Amino acid sequence: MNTIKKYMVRCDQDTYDFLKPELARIAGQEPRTSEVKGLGGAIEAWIIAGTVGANAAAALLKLITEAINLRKAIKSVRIDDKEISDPTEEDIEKLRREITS
Amino acid sequence: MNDFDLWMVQSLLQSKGSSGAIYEQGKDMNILLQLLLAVGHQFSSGSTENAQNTNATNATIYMIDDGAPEFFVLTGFSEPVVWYSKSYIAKYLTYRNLIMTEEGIGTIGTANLFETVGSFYLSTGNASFAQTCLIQALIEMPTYTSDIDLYNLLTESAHRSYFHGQSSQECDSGMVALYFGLAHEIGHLCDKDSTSGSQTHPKSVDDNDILNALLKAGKEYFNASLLPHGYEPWAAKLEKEAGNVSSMLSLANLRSEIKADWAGFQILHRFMESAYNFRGITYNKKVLVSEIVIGVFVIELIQLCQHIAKVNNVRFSNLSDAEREARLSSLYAPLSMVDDNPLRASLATNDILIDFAISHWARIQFLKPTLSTVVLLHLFPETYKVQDDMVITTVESSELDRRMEIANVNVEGYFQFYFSACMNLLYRLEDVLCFVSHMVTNSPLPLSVLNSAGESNFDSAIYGNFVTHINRLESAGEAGRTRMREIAERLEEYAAAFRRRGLENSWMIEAGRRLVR
Repeated sequence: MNTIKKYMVRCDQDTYDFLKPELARIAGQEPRTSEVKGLGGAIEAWIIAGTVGANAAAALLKLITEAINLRKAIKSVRIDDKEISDPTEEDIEKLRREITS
Repeated sequence: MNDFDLWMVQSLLQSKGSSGAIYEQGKDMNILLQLLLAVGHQFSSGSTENAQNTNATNATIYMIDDGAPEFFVLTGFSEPVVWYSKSYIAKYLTYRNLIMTEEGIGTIGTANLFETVGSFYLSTGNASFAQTCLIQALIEMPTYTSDIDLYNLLTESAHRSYFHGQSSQECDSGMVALYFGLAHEIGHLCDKDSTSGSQTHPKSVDDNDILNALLKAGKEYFNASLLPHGYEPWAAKLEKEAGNVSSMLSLANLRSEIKADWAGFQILHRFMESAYNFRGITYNKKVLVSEIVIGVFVIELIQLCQHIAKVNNVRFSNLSDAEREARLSSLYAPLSMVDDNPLRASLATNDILIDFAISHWARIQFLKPTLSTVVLLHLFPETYKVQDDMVITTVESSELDRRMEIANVNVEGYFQFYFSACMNLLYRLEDVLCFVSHMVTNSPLPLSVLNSAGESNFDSAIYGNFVTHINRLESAGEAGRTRMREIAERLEEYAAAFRRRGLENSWMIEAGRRLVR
């Protein structure tokens, strides 16, 4: 059964520009996006969120790994109730095994 | 708010180690917040209806109980979400009181800065840096008050004054502490909605205006610092960074803040008028203006602490050579001149302080005319009158000029009065930046008195200092034991924040054992 999974990525602008179109392609729909803008004017983070089928979740995590290898700044990745802060390639692989098991 | 938005906010709460709930009128003790939202709605829609009878703005307010002192707005949701942090309000009040106190900033200022930076490290998930900063805060902090207690005390005091129809400086400053940040965020939402009937900033705020204000503020800063030669390289840096939204010198970001400062002040001013007029009383507008002068500084100071934690979030040993060199470069100390990583890191972080001081000074210049007008209305309330839906002056232009000059002098006086206290806080922040430089390089402290055990890395040296501090308190009789209990209580609050964030805190557990043995 292809259950739907929610995802949310917090990152910087450069990573946001890199991930957003790819995530739209993987999920088959435009993701929700949000700026986290503080009182001093700085944008603390960009948020990309949406839903993907369970089969597409693995492709999503592969994209995240690719971003990590390109030294993109990803603050956190969440799939449903599982979240990793400052993820490494190993963390993402562990998460992939957990959500596909 | 739809289910998916709710999931996003709940996820954000968890990932920041916070807890909170949507603000609901009647269920939250902060009743005046509803009035502020109504005034914000009225302002953003350009409506002339009575704010007491207007529906609240469409933003959803999340009341955040703990976590870092963050106050932000999330756009892109079905309706904007404002993150209203009680620890932010408490920290704001603490800094505001420190600036106002005649006793000076003292170690309590340093301790609070360490706590603020530490809580931002915790929010980003950097357990190691968070522990080191918070342990240092425990060493420096003379007394403790829980953030939530401060928020509740402030809310009670503001509401008591409102319901009893009494105005006092304490109440007015409480209103500013509770609502200026929120009014500023609503100001951002007004700016985004260009189709609304909301009013716009009376001064021109195009790129050239902001650039000129920055250059002028930069010149004044370097002349006042007796380092006039520093201006040219800084001006060249400004030219490079003015278009970079990640920079503190970004013109686009500054314009957005300048507009939100103005709209936020308008909303807060109207809110105060509504709150007090409803009770048939007047209040001192000069107090409101002086509180705003401090408020803009404190808001930026807390944001600066967040920025410091953000840009100093990785140990240098984990960076590539290129990243390290980029991170260590300072505008005023070429790499070839310094062969000492902690010193270079310290110089590089000090560049942040210079940008902060200059951009703050430039930003506030755009609010000054509005503040002067409010002071004018306080000193000479009969200067204007409304006739046929038009505001007209009741005095000759020469008299108007004279009155405006007096108001300007008053406003400048507030800036001068608080300038040295604000600068003292920034000097304390310089100490914190030096600490952060050692933390990212993990270099031991240079003075043996601060590293008596001769630890080979910075984190261990700071923990060693904490143990020494506890040992001294243990041998200081009843006063020492009382202090230890206070530290243990605060330490437990920190440890709970680590648990909520799901982060390891071995030092804190060990420190807790030492305190209760």
